[in-house]
Order: sequence, then structure tokens, then C-alpha cells
Amino acid sequence: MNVDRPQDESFDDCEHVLERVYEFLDNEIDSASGDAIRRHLAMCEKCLDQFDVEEAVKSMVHRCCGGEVAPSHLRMKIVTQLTVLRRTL
Amino acid sequence: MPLLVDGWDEQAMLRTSPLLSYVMSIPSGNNASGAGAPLSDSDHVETPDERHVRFETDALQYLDQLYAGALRMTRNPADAEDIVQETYAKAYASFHQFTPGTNLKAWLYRILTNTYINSYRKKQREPQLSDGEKVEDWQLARAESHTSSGLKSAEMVALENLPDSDVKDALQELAPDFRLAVYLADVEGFSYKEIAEIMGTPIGTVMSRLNRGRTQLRGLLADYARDRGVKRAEASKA
Repeated sequence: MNVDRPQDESFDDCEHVLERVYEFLDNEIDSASGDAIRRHLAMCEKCLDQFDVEEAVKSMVHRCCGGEVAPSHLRMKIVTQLTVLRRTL
Repeated sequence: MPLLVDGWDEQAMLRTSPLLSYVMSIPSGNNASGAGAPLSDSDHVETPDERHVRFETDALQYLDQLYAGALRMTRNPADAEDIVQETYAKAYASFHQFTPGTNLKAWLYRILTNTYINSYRKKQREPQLSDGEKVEDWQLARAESHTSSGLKSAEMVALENLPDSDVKDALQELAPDFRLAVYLADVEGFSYKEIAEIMGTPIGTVMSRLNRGRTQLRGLLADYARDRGVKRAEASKA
């Protein structure tokens, strides 16, 4: 590991890293920037803490906020409705 | 998992008519929805019966997901059922405009979102809307007061110990636009580009909604965690 080598210039400061933390988290960032952010996080505990919280919240939302199953009467209503529409359209 | 999206089929967007066809033409390398979508250039023209079966096979598989999404939008089961049913009727009627091989779930979500917005507007003819904005500002102020202090790792432990219902409640407290953006990104795993199409906004708007929504959400969750901590402390004193 070449710790002595300067980081990718654009991701030296925490503010800039945190600005793009959501894009990083959402896989919406180019791989060079992603690598630079990863390098920064490896060396900066403050940013890493922040990132951990964001990541935790994202995965909590993923786990807790979906997954409801449509009631069976709704499915039946829709299937019936489609049959009717098929005749009229 | 976010679907890989190369870009929109602009020609298709221009070709088709306003509302529903404004819709997604997301070119996808491999047909994610699988089921045999007929190619438009083949000799065989799809009969209405065949299209009906294709719709039932392909579109109905997303019923549970659309219902869950509708619940996040409307916050009550009866309204959620109504908009999902309406969504399927509209989708069925414009299914010929859907480009096979593109992202059907995102297409359905776009119709669902339009349907929700229309029904929401109908119900909000009174000054309630501005009330909504006030709530939003207040929530934002509250959330921002948390951001400056930041969450410590210890608080993260508290966060992770929150019951699922708290997380759901916190998401429900967000303003509709923020709530939906966060839901589409975090629960459904849509890309920014897909969310932009579903919500009919530029990608920059999606990003700012995600930013503000998540900031508020974190603030609310920190509040919940603190309240629970206070209650636990009081209970142990008593």
C-alpha cells in the first residue's frame, strides 16, 4: 500500500466526500471517484462514521419499509376488471 | 439491485403520446422481466388475446410491489387499493405503448405515481397543501438541527436497535416527494435515472429530494432513538 502517495485531488477534503456520499452509496458514481472516496473513507474516521450511518439508514429503510402483500380481494378485483376491459377495449 | 440503464430511448418518447408514453423506454441489455415479449419487427402481429395474456403474466407479477409503493404514497390501505386498481386499468389500456424489453416495473410505477398525484390533487383542493409545506419546513428545521451535531457511532447503535415500525413511521412523516424518492431508491433499488422518469423530474431534482429526504429521515430516527432512550431511563428509575 502506498500510503505516501497523494490522494486523488478532488476527494481530499471531507466536505466534498460527504457531498457525494449518497451517490457513492447508491452506486451512481463513476469507478474512479468511487475508488477515491473509498480511499478517503479508509483514512478518515469522521467521514467513515457518517457513511456508516447513511448506509445503516438506507438498509433499515430497505428492510422495514416494503414487503406488504396486496390483499387477495384486490388481486381478484383487478383480474376481473381486466376481463371486462378486454371486452370493451 | 439497481438495474443498469444506458439511457432513454428518446425517439420512442417523442413518438408516443403525452401522459403514459412519456413513459419509460429503458433499453435493457437483457430482458429483466423475462417473459416472452414479442418483437415488433416479427411477422406475427400480436392479437388482443395474446396481449391480454402477456399483460396478466408480465404486469400482475408486480402487484405486491406496487401495492406496497402505493401504501407509502397514500398512507392508508383503502386509497392504496384504489390507485393500484386504477393503475392497472390505465396500464392495460396503454399496454400497446409499452416497449417490450424495457423496464415494465418502472413503467408501471410511473403510471402509479401519476395516478397518485392526480388523486392527491383532487383531494387537496383546500388550503391543506400549504399546511403540508409548513410541516415540511418544520421537519426540515428539525432535521437540520441534527445534522450539524451529527450522529455518533453510539447513536448509530441506538438507531439499529429501533423497531421496524419506527423506521416505517419516520418514512411516513416525510413530505410526499421526499418519501417517494427515498422509497424508490432504497426499497425498490431504482437508479436515479429511473426515479427521474417515474417522478417526471430532472435527475438533479431526484438527488436533492433524496438528500433532503434522507437528512430528515435521519433526524427523525435520531429523535425516536432518543425518546426511546429517555423512556428506558425513566423506566429504570421508577
